[in-house]
Amino acid sequence: MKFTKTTMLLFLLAALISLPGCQTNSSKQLLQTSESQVKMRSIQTRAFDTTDKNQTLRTVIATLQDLGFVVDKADETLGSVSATKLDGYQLRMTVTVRPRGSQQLLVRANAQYNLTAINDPEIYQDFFTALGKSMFLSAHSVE
Amino acid sequence: MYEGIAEVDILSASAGVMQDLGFNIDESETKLGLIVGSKERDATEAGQVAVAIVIALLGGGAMAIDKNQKLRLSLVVRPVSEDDKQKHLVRVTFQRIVWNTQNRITRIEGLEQPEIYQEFFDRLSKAVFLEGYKI
Repeated sequence: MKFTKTTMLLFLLAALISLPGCQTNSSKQLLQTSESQVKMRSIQTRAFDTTDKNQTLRTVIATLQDLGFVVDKADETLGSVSATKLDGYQLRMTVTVRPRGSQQLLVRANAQYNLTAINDPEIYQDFFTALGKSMFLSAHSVE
Repeated sequence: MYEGIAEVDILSASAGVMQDLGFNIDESETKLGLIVGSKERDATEAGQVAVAIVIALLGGGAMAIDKNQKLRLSLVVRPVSEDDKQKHLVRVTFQRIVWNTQNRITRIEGLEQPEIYQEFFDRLSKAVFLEGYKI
């Protein structure tokens, strides 16, 4: 196929028109989030009726291992666990556990799939369902 | 500077802000008041794509453009003085590494725009406030 000057110009025009949808300064990604913070928090957080932080962290680690993750880092004081799953893609997840009042613990998870943050509620729901099963406790949604 | 809140609570609030921003925690040493986090994101910029298209159309072949980046954050909490354990300073630094479409590193830099730091601390202040009152 031979490109004429007109088709080339048309291509150029179409390409340039589609550009404004792209980012112009990639360092802006630093603080960028796609969904509202409040919404993401409620998707990524569940409360459990226990105060045993150590046991909860151990269960989080076990659940991540069940799901095929390799644990990168865990810190009891901070209550955090980070893990990576490699399966043709790279899935990184950080889970934090912190007290909520005197009766409950809040478990918050966030994950990135290759180069994007995961915003799909279902994925977090699946994680919390698996976690709830191993904790023998039900996960309460948090508003 | 944050007053009237324990160091571990500031760290916990900071971890929460990092999760809000989509960072994963890479490293933490709570005894030293340190958390290191990172996230990987798209680094394509419209300007570079436009230049690459023009060059390709002029017969210059495929030009490498920035593709992905790793954004790093390290946060340190320390007491203002030895005697006063209720006042803490929080210091945060951001860096990024950018790779292009040929997987070569094109940029390694500290991010120094004051707005970035201001926004981070605005978010942290809110989180510390909530943490301080155990809300």
